[in-house]
Amino acid sequence: MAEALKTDALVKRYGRRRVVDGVSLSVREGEIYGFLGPNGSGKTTTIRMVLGLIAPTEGSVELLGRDIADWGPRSREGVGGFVETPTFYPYLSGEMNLRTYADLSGGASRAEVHEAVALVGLEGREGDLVRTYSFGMRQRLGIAAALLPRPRFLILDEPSLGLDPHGMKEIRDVMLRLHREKGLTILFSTHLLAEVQLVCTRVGILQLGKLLYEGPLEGLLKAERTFRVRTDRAERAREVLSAHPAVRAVGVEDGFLTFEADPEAVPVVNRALVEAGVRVYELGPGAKSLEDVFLEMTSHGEKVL
Amino acid sequence: MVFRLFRIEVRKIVRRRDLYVSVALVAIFVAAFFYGFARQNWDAWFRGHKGAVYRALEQYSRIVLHRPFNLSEYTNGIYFTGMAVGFSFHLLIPIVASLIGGILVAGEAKDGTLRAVLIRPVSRSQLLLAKFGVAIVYLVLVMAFYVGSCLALGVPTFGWNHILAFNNAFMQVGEGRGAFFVMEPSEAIRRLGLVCALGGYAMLVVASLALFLSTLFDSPIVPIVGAVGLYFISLILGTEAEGFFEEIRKYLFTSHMFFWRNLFAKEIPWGDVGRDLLWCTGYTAGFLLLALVAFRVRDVKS
Repeated sequence: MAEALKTDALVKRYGRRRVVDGVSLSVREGEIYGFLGPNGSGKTTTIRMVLGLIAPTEGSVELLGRDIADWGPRSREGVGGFVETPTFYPYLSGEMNLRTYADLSGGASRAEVHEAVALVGLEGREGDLVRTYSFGMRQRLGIAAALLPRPRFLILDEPSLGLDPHGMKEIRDVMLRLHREKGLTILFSTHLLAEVQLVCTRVGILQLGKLLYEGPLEGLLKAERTFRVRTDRAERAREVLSAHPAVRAVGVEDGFLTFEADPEAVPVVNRALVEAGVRVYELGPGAKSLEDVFLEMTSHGEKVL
Repeated sequence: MVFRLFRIEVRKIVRRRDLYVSVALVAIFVAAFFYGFARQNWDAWFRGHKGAVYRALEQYSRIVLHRPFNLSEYTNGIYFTGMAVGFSFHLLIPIVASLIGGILVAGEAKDGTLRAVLIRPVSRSQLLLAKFGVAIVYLVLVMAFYVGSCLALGVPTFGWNHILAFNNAFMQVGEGRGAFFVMEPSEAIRRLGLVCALGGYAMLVVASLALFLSTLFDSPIVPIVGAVGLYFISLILGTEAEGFFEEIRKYLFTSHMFFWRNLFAKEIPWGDVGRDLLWCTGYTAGFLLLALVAFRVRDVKS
């Protein structure tokens, strides 16, 4: 599958500090890619390098197959987006702002501008000065601006930042619509895990400038080796698990016995429990959410895959 | 592409309220100057400050024109406009040039719109050239408003007549700085047009300096104050401390910006004017080149 974005060993250094440290991302065309990381992990710096706002110290970036070092500004043709919060000329109307930004990318027809306005639900307000817009309206106008004229790839930096749950849902719905109806590839950065679980097909996790994980969301959760089991004889089960060579770190959590093991070893462990006379009522993956995984990964800063 | 960017920049600046500050400044300056000019007792002033000129004019009227000398004929609307333009080119227009030059990049950086522009497929060099083009248009419009206001106020109030001009200088003449001569109104207006065009061209040095500083900072205050400050430092080193800084004087940009005074000489010294124009072109091109280099390599973090 063609890649909308490919970075190779991207580095940004300020003095001796490596803000982005050898990040190699791969965003495939047609997917919604969640770029995850806690505040200060280097997400925005990476996006700035991708969009040509800052120069990489090392490494390369390809946007829609075009190397930004070779193509210069033209590498951003077909790419829309915003970095941090979307910004506008407050003394211009919403529509005039959209036309101004669209003109920088080759121009958009009146119908296209109105379609973008309608898509983000700002009909009736496009003639008002942007200085009268609420924060949420500006975010939505930012997406409308990124849609002009006809991008194939959207890069949105923290599109839900500062929005209330209602506004966050609206932005999510807009992204899903754009992906579904227009087939856009979308990369969006966030530190909100719930958003990622609801929207993304693949994720990249950044911590302290390093890419800890890149791949499908399920892969990230599958990568976990924690399982939990409910039995009729907890003490006996604990003895069996503790003695089993494939099992590590037996514990208790929320009334369940928990243990770590390779996923392939779980049927063997189950048989061992049954053969030891323990009735197994429930055996499955640990209750770790994406949040648990994320916190665990980013607090250790280790590469898990 | 540059032309499209230029159109977009024009669209933006015509709606920026803060850029109308210059127009307001100009209007206040013209009004104050008009008031001062109207209140001035020119006869007493000329007798007191330019006695020799006054006496020569009396003789000139009696012997050449065969009529009594009347100074108010010379302190007319064109003279008022010329004086106002002379003052403005020293103080007001350089500030306006710094304002527009300083605000164009740093103002957008401060508002965050610079990053929104630069993530589009836009060449930074072309964007900067378009912004410089806008600075030129802005300066031309402010100066046109300025000269137009002066003529619109001055001519109906003080009349339309010939003016006194002095070799080597127009308004800042002192005793013995050169012979005076009387200039016909049509010629005076032509010369005034030349002063505005070429004097305005010299102001691009300040505008390009401010634009260069504007590419280095994320707040417009620094480049505006910086350009005005450097202008006055250069002016002081080149004039007030004349002699002491003789060696560096010819390299100061302000030493080559006031050639427009010579445009009111009886015979315009085109050689000197051309040389200064070349200096100004060099400074403008130099600052613009620095701005282009700085802007192209700048990391936009605002």
